Amino acid sequence: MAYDIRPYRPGDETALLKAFHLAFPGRTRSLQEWRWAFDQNPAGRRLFLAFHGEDVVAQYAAIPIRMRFRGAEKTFAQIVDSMVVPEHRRGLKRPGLFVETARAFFEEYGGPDADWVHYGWPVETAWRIGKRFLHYVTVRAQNGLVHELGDGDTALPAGVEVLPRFDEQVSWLYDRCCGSWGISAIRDEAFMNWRFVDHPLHHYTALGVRDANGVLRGTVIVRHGDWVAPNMAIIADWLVPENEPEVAEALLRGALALGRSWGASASVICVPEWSSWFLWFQARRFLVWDSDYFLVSRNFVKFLDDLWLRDHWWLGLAESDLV
Amino acid sequence: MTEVDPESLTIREYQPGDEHAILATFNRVFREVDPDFVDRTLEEWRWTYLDNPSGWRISLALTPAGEVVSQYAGIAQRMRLDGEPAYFSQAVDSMTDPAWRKGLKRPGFFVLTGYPYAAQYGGPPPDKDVVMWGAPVPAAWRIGKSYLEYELVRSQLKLTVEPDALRDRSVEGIDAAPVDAFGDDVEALFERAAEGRRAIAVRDLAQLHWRFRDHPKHDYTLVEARRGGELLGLAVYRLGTFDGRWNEALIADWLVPATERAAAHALRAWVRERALADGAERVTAIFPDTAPEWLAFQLAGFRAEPSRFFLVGRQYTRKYDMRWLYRNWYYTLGDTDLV
Repeated sequence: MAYDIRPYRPGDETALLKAFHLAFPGRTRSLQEWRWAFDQNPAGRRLFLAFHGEDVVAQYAAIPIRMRFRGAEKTFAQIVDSMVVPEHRRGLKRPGLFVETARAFFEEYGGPDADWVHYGWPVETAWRIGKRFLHYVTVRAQNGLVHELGDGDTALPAGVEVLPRFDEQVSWLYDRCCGSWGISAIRDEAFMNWRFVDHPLHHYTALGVRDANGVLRGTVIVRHGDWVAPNMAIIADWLVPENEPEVAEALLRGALALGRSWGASASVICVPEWSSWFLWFQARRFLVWDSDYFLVSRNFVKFLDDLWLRDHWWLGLAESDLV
Repeated sequence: MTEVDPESLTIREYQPGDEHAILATFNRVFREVDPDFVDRTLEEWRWTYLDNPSGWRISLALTPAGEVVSQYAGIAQRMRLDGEPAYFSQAVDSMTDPAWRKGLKRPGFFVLTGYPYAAQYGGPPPDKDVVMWGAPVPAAWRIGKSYLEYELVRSQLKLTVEPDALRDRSVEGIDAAPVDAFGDDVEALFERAAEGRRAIAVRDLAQLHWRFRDHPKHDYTLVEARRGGELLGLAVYRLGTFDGRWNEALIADWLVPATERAAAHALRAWVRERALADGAERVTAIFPDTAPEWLAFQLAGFRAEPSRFFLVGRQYTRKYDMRWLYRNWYYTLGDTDLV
């Protein structure tokens, strides 16, 4: 069969959503969700499509994220929604349409002057193809820190407030947090509002602690949902300077109280194992669980290999589509 | 630099008598990179390879004069895989004489001896190694993933606790005590402990005594937990260095059936008392984070910390890939050569 593999063009979304529903039966994706992910992301869009006639039959797509590395801005991109519709899964000789679409995508978007890293948590089939044909490597098995909520406060502690929206102060807060991080997603007003406040499907609650002058000292994002276990208070992001333990204690109490008020059975957070927060949460009775998710990357800059990323990348659930 | 003519080299499996040439190169190579290195003795070498009840795996590159230029070696492990006998091998002691290292174009000697190793030893059960695994240094990992199909199994977290923070106390009716040798009933214990574990190295009397009691260099304490004479579980303890920290009370092995929770408490309580008596700073163990012990030890007071080690492997059959291994393989420090 003949295929036309090319970047997305405005107007393709109807055909690609039709392909999405053929490729992922049982899942639904509205145009509003698609626009949020691919049109409204402040970091842009990464999207390659394979056409058979007028029909989209394959997609390799990613959500780019602006990163900070030694003061400079770089880009990573999270691979999401890669697919081939069933009747075209044998549409090209090996390695197949999925790989050919991905290769075109990497050629367009990956490189030292483009996206430094493409990453994701692929399903088993995509992982097998990716490691064989697309230079995927496993960075780590993704664990989660889990805390059973039990009885306790259900009201926010004094000094912890709900933040309806982020402003420029979250950038200042990120600047104060990221000094010890080798590389990290830039948590500025645009990213935080797009990722959490304006999310079309999930409701996230942002909690904050401010100083006497109203300056944001720390924030935590919490969502009620299922991840690693049902009925969880998922801590989707944690942005607290390491040298402000009283802020951390207040925000954690707030997050757990919120979870109890939802009737959640436990709370879960992901922080890098190299970070001091990994032990900090364990000291507060969080247990380390395995998750059966594997962080996988395709690297385009030599020194940013799997070991370096494992040991230097501040990565939480905010940079994922897992929650 | 030595002129290299790869055609002049013989690539072959170990033959009796090669150990002298292997050790000469091994000690020279590691003396140069590790100021604390103590030469390996012939006794240690024989113990590692020839005395292992599970066997040895050695691929060599030799000059016409019989000097060892490069080695790719492994410690065999008899495994129980989905209830059936199989083999794994742990890659250890890989080396290339520095005088030769730069004389060959890529991929070099590591790969030159690695390919025949894979061809000779890797393959389907029950006779071949289903999986080859190791805890490589980063340089070997980078070469291995490029040329030898290494894949990550997991970055190895360790479980640690200060002895007096360990919550377990002795259990009435269960006697946890050191022994000079494990009893014959250890094999029945292994059968019970292996239930529900889809991949576990065989811990029979021969293997356990070879690994711990007969170790030529380290002193291990073998500990049994018994109730009225019935063996419920075992642990192996050693005071030593791990992951750059000395004076660690190391749980070198742990074999307790899932149903014997009280025995686990009793064994950890014994470790606690012994670690306190030894003045150990911390008690340290490793388990896969997918094993039941992972959470049980955290509930006993252990915390998970990163270590510098990561486990990698290469699969030789389609079924047992690294994801399968991640989910199903039970191991402890004693499966490795790290302690």
